[in-house]
Amino acid sequence: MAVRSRSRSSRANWRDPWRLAGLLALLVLLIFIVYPQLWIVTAAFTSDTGEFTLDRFAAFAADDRFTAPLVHSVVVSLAVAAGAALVAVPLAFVMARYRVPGREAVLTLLTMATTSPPFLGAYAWLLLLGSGGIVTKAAREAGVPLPFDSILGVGGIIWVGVWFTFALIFLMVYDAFRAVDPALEEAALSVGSTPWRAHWKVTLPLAVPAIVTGCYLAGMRIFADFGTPMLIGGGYQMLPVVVYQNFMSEVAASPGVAATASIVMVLVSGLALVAQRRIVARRSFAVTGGREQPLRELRGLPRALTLGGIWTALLLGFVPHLVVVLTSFLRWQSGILQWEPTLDNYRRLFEESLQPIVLSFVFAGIACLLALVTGVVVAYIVARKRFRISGPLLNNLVMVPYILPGTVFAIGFILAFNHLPVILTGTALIIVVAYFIRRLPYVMKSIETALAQVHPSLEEAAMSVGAPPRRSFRDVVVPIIRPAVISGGTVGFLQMITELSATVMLYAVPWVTMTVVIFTNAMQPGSPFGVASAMTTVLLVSVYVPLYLLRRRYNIRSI
Amino acid sequence: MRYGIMLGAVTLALAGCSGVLTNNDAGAGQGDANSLTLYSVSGPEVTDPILAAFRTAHPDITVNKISLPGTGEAFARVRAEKDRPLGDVIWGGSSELYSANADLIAPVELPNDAATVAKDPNHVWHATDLLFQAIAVNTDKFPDASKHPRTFADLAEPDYPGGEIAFATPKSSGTSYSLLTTMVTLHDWEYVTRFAKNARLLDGSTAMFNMVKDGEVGTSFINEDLGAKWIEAGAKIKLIYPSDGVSSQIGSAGVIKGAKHLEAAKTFVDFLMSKEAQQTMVDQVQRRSSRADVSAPTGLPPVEQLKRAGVDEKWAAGQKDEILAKFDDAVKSAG
Amino acid sequence: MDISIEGVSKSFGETTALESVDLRVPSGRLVTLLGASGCGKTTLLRIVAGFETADTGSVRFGERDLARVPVWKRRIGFVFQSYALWPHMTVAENVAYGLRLRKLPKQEIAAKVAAGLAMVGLTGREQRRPGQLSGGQQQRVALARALALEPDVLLMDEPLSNLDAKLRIEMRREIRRIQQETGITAVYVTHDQDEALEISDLVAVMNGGRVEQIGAPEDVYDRPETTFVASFVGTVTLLKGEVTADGGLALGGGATVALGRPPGPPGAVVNVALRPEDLRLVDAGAQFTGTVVRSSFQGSGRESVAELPGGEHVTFEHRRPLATGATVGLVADRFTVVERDTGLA
Repeated sequence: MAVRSRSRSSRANWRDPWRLAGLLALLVLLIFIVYPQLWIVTAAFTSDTGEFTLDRFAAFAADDRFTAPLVHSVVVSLAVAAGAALVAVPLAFVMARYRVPGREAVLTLLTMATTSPPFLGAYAWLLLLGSGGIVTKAAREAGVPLPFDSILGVGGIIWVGVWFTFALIFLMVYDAFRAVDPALEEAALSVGSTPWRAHWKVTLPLAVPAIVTGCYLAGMRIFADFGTPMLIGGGYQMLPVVVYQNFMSEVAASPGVAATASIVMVLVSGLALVAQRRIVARRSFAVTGGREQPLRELRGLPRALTLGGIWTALLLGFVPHLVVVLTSFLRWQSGILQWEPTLDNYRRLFEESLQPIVLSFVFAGIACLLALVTGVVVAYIVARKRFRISGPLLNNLVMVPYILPGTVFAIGFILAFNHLPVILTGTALIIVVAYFIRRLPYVMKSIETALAQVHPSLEEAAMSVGAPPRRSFRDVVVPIIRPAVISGGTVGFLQMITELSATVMLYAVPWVTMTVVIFTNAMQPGSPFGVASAMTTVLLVSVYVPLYLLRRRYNIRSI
Repeated sequence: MRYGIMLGAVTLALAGCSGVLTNNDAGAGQGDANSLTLYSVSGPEVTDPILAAFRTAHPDITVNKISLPGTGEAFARVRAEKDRPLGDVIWGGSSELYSANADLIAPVELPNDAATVAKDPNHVWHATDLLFQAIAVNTDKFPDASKHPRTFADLAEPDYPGGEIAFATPKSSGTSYSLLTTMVTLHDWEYVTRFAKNARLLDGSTAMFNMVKDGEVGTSFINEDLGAKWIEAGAKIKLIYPSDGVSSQIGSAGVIKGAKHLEAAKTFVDFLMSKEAQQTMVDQVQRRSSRADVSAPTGLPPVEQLKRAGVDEKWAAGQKDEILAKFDDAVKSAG
Repeated sequence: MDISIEGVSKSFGETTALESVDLRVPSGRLVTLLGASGCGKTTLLRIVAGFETADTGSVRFGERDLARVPVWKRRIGFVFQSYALWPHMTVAENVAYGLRLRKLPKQEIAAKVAAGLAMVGLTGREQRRPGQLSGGQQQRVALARALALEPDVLLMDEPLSNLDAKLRIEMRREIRRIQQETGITAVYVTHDQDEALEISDLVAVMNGGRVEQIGAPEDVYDRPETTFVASFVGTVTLLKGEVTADGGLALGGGATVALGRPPGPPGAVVNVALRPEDLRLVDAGAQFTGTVVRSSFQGSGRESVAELPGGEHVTFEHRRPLATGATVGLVADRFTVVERDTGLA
């Protein structure tokens, strides 16, 4: 009797369409994440003579050339996450609760600020705050003391990191603050709590999942970034740089060492993921379809401070963009900026084919759709289903590409897809798949955060009135998470269209993207940076204009 | 219903695109024999003039240039693709890197090999230019010309007056590796320890070049052609060729093993060494020619005025791991 | 349509939520599942609804075995603790959603929505969004939504626990009225005994994954079958002791009380349940004598606790004030012998 019923209930489980969807998603991840990147595992556990060994890990742990960068990376990532949260959380709170003039514009700008001009972003800060930078020099000449000589160094990495990531945290936390049922705060007030106490004890804890997820994404972005430390670290060793150097060094590449360090990175970020999951899982749901937050008025000094804070943060977030746009109208000679206005950069750019603009949009567009579909499936399974094997597998696998340097990731792709049964190298498809897989983590995380705020009873209610799961998902879940899906998809798209490090390793003529053009014109110290700046400006404009229109179209109702 | 239509549209779009996207003519080169795929490590400021000259000389051959961030990345890509090579020619970076990756390169003897001053007996690399490294001093940061270094020896003085010396780690920078082997050849490992005391170690050569240009440090090293261009563009730097010996590299190109367009590739690499291309290299790129019959670009001193360090290439190429390990030790003992 | 639950068990990993539960809900009746949190009542309701699958056992609506019937085909109405209204739909759309899925004609949907909202007293709020309604109004919408499809059974999972005390009482009468008007078979989960006693035809008291007793509210209150039920439903004094040869009850503390009639055969160990209202203060002829340790005024009367010489506490009702420390004599007009000792709530 017992046995029969058990098999019956498991058969009922198999009818669940999510199980099939989950298996399909798992298959995709196995083919495009595990299979291509398996070589890293192999390299890390094989000695130079080809035998299984753990020596590389022992050597890693014993050598301060590796442990010091590891500690640096962890500390810097935590510092950046904390700093970005300190900027983002108060801003998000004020924006979620008070009537702020230009709200829609600010929100759109913040979405835009989640992407930095590829390749040139950190240069911009150097140009301003380096030892010979514009601001540094001006301050020196005006006799204004600065707390630093140059942005170069660990402080610079953190500074750039904070302004590079705070918008990510903001977007997640803002949605959460908006979603907190005002009744909960009113309840706290009614039992004699002061408003600030109520915020501290009620509102903030409810936003913790979003804050933690935002911090996690921000921290991981820095943890995996090798471009910024390489450019403005001034020799401050961070783990991604070590990995990169050991994979790609022209003098003495040691893939075994690099693979070992990569696996350590994956482990560390796995720990971070566990922590993030723990904290998010412990929290209850913020929304059950309660009331909307009313926006309150702000007057006088608080209003001035709020506006000042928001626009200062935005300005700092957009420093790279502004500098790049400005310098695209100046003459560069052998990589050195001349203070002469010119349109020459654009003339040279438009002499060449404009096909990269179209290709970038096509690649990122398709990849973004793929990421959205897969992201929704994975996020839904992770957030809702108690699948014992595929659930945790999906959740952990999907994050792997977030940590691997793009170049390393691309090497795996070439190794895996340059031979039968699947040949993708040299095609445009490999770029699309690479974008899709590399940026899936972000898309998936933002959908997961949104789903965590949709109480499961909303779907059960739909089923109880006769809607099959697919229908209830479509009619209930999708409309509720749509704003988050759109904003997650948008940020994902932005990150795809600005993807460079994997593209450079994978592209083949004629599949040249905008980032490749930018990179080609800025790759060497003496390269024509002006053309790169001009292409970046074209990229930013061509991405931001549709983004602005999209936000206008979709977000008015949700605000 | 609406969703159904949307889904259909997306499916159609995907199907349509994947048709276009998987067309791998260009990469795999199943197309015409008169095209070749070039993996280039240099920026357009180097490649464009010479590619333009090639187009004029060989209008029948199309060059598909793929730019890669550095020689390390380029060889990593070639290595990853080695079962089914997608590239035909790799161009840029110095000769010893080609020797170190000889298993990826097809040795071919080309007509113009004989005309170059540096020749590879194995015909793995083909010299396309000569690169000398100079000491670079930022004259804003380190204005006192009387104290500027004149030799490698000066850079290791205990009270070096120029502050920190930027130096890319030789593990990741070919330029630095060449400087290191020069230092050891001219002096010894004890010198390297003393030098390391004055040095600020950086992740890559780009940072080493930029830091002296931006005035982050007073002293650094630089490839002479870039230094000359920067001075011309107004950078406040001065190039000093050490009188105790100058390090140098041989800019190279090679034909990738298993290249699908072998003949076109050979034609291209041979063209890079031709007098015509070399003249363009000197006139427009401002790099030294690898041929004896083409003189140095204006702004760079003639080779005869420089004392070459005479590094033992076999040692430098063969004992790389040991040399790098010794460098690590020197850095450690320097504190 | 009646509901029969037979031998339903369910565990989540190591924890057993339900242990072979049998329950029958007669057609047209309202049964409450009453118990403390974690007793399995919500799990049982969710199995009936089809949100969870039982490990063993069966659930039937009438003659229909539901093992292979998914939620959306069970013809149920479900009311959630959290209301679970769809925030992106108006009140009318929330109620109409299930009707639309059935592809009913527009006019019919409109009529049913209007009738449903009228039944719960929300006419005129059709175009509001759930976010603009109070908690009580939201739960009324949820009720209208659950009933719009005229389901076979109505399942309610602590529907009132998010409301304030006064509204709770109002709403439970409302729910009872609507249930009786529609004549629907209903299962109602609550941890609130007052709620259970007031609205149910039958109360099933659950403890540790089992149903301890099922019966009319009066039966459960007056004739608890287990000590748990006795102590969970209402206030009770439970005295455990051995029946003496003369029909008295020898308590653990040493004292012996005479209860008017023997609570069992001599030598038997029994639990005697005494409701506060069954005890009467007397000046002479007391069955119990004790010292008042606590006394509280409750409007309609007073409830006090007396400590017997053996340390047992007895709760009783009375009208005139009593000082703590006073010695009182009590007589039990009636008492119940509880069959099984299953611990206290």
